[in-house]
Amino acid sequence: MSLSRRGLGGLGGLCVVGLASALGLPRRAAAHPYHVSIAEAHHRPEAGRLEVSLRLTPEDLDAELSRRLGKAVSVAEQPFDARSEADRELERMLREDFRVIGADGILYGVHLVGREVGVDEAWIYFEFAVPPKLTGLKLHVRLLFELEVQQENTVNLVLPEGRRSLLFRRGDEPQAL
Amino acid sequence: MPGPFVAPLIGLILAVTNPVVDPLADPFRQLDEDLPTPTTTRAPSGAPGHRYWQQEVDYRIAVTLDDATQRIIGSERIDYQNNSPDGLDYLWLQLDANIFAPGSAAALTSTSYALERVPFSGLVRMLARQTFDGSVTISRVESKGKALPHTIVGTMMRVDLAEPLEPGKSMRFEVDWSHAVNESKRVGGRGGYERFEDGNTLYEIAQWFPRLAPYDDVNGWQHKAYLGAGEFALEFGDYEVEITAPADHIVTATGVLQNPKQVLSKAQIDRLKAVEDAGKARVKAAKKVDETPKKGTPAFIVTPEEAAQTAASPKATDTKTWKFKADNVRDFAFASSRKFIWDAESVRVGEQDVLAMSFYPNEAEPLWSRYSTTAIAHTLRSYSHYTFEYPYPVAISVNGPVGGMEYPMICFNGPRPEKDGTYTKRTKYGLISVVIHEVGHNFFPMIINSDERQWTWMDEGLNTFLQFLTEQAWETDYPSRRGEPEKIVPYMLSDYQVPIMTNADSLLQKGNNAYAKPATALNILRETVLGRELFDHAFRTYARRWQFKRPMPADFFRTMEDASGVDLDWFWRGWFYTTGHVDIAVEGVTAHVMEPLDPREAKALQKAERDAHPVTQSQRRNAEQPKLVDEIEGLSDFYNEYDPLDVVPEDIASYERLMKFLSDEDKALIQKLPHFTAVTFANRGGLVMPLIVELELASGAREEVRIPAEIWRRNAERVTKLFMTAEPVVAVHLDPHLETADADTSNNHYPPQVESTRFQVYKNPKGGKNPMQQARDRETKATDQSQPEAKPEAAK
Ligand SMILES: [Zn+2]
Repeated sequence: MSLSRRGLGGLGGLCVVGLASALGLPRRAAAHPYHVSIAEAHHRPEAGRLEVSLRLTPEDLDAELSRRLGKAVSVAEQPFDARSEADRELERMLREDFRVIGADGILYGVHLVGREVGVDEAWIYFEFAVPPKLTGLKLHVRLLFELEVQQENTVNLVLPEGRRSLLFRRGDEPQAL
Repeated sequence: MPGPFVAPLIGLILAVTNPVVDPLADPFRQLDEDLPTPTTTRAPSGAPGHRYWQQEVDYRIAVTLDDATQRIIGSERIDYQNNSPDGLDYLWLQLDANIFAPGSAAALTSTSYALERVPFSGLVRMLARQTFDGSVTISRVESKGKALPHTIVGTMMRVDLAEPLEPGKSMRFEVDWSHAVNESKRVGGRGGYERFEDGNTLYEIAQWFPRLAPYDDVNGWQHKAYLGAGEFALEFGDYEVEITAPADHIVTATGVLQNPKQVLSKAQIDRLKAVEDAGKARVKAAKKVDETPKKGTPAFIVTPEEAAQTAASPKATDTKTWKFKADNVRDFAFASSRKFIWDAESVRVGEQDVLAMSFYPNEAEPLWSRYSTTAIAHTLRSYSHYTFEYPYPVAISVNGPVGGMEYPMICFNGPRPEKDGTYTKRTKYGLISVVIHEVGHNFFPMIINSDERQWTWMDEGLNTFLQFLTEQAWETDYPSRRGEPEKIVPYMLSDYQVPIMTNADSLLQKGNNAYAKPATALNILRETVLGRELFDHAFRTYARRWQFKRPMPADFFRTMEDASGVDLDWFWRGWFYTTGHVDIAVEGVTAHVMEPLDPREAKALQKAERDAHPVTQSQRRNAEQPKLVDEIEGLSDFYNEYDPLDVVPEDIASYERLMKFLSDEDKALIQKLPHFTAVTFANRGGLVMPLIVELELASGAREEVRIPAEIWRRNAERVTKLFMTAEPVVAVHLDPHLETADADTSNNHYPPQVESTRFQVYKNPKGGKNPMQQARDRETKATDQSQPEAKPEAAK
């Protein structure tokens, strides 16, 4: 098979397709058994930034934005516009679901730089202003958890001291950056 | 033998340092220790062994689809042929529908997720699971009129035999059963029904009858519980199936319709015949001019208007029985609805005409009539080219609630346009891709019957690989999701991977692991390691050897090596047994110029070089001071006068001997390629790969050198390679066509290139340039503009 909605056993499976059509949202077309996002987060101490490129399946991005806005949205059809309803929602989604948390528990602000959404993949670019040392900072990625039970979010960290990955699944706690 | 000058011409690996100490880390270690020992059923070549066997199970089924209650009521007669060398005391059957029992293992485990942020959809399904019972009622299990004791264990049923079924013997028994069909939208599933706003229903019925679990030479009984995520393994057999459905339904199924006159209208029969005749005419026309037949286009058997009319009229109260026959299949699925549009096209595959057909409601239009059947035909031609000629008489694509699922000869595909009939680019390619993928599954695993439940990559990975080739033959730059090496890089860089050779149940990131990574690996094997010709021969050999049989991973690895004649153990080990990634860096480059072979020229040059060497301060000051040899006579001897750079007769003689030994071609080569460049490559990612090296020469010309992965054989961490060129090498680029999935391409260049991250390229579209280069660009631009002669040019 090829569809996203494979898991009969899990809560995943075809229900999302069904729900989306029940709400008049676009059916999530073919064809991925992936419930994954993968991000590369590059820490540039000299610039005081954490720069993130996030790759998602375009259907997932549309489905999530549609779910959040309660109506059908397809961002592939519209150029990036930070003031548009969909892109404002996209930034809100990142603020809630891709969270850089300070030692004091305060969230770092996210700045959505832009996105490229093609037929085969969707890329989202955003950044955080972070201190030169990330000690004490935590990351919590909860993307698409409300869409897909089996969702897995991987973050490949590129830090001055080397590479490291973090994996987030439902129920996971924030992890040290 | 010729002197040292010629040596580098032969031994091209110049320096090998730090031999690998740990033998376990040796990427070229043979795989034998990891593969099962060949047996009489599985040969060392990767082919089926001389005693290969598999069971055969034939079914005769009569089933009624009750549209009023959405139930399946069935009765089957099973003939089980025991070809194994073992006596069997009992048989195991799969009751997949028991996954829909409220207390099933799948339902119970599905609620055990942490409750933080449970998706709304998940809640809906949990509720539906509480209320819907799709479990199987078994009302009869009998052989020769006698009841057989049977025990249901979750999704499996054990049938105990009165006496053991001996090797070579067969037995016949009957099972009656019934179960409710699941509503796909609420409960999910690989089949199910969809209720439309117009009150009509569309059924996609799969995994619906008690089926024999496989019994094979490697695992014995395969009776792992069905939890929904893993797919399944099955036995081949012949099927005769009678489907009774409401009289106004169109029914389509695995196999060939046996009673068209009883279920189709005269017009429908005529249209089908016209499609077949058109196909035959194309074949005949092509034979005259000795060409491949022209490609056809689909024609309607049931038009959209007719389907709309049926859907709007009152529902039929009587039924019709559709009879289908399918030989040598491992499963049977069907679809039924009064909403179906039906189109068909005859496709020539080898010496056979195959009917490619699509069934879809008006909700799928105009997308489906445009692409579905054409995509089936394209898939049959493309896959047949890479494997074997599609052996079945029909290939069917059905639109309904299931997003994408494959069965023999028939598959279910979800994409539909918007309500207004428009569709996005993504929906269009989503449909074409899913049809290619699901029809492609006829080859893997419907015919090459690998065990999906255990080794998902053997069908999904191989299928995804051929899907990529087939998509790329649809149109230039087709937006394929998987296949291009660079797309797999982020996954391979992550720490959270398991090797591809991991049992399907414990897969992490199944999509990447079972689909994308093996598909990419095969693409690299084809394009970069073996080349298309060798690869295609080996891959085709595997497909043909295991057609209608059940291969295991080792059979694939062994056949690919056996048929290509290339030792690929390093490749299987790296890509299938480990989680390393590819990152090879250009670590250092040194340039050398060939000295003239004639000692008179060579030594003169060396002298000049020596003379050009600066005099040190000490040498300069010491020159003034008196020396002992000048004072004491006899202290000087031969060596005080000897200059090793003087040409002596022996030099000349040795040179002449060399000249006599060198052929004219050798001499010309040395004249032609006097520049030597030694490039050191470091393996930072762990996976060894061929080196694809582009040399940029002083004149701007580029030369590409492709070096097999075996260059890493003696040292998997660092190798130096010597290149000979006519001109000085000014730059070196590794993997210039992005074909090796190299994870960090910023270290692939000499001189080093500043490479931007994806983020930076997006944020600064000028990208790829560092601030200094950008400043220089601005300067050049400014100077260009201030050039006075630029203006008259512009004025013209
Ligand atoms: Zn598949």
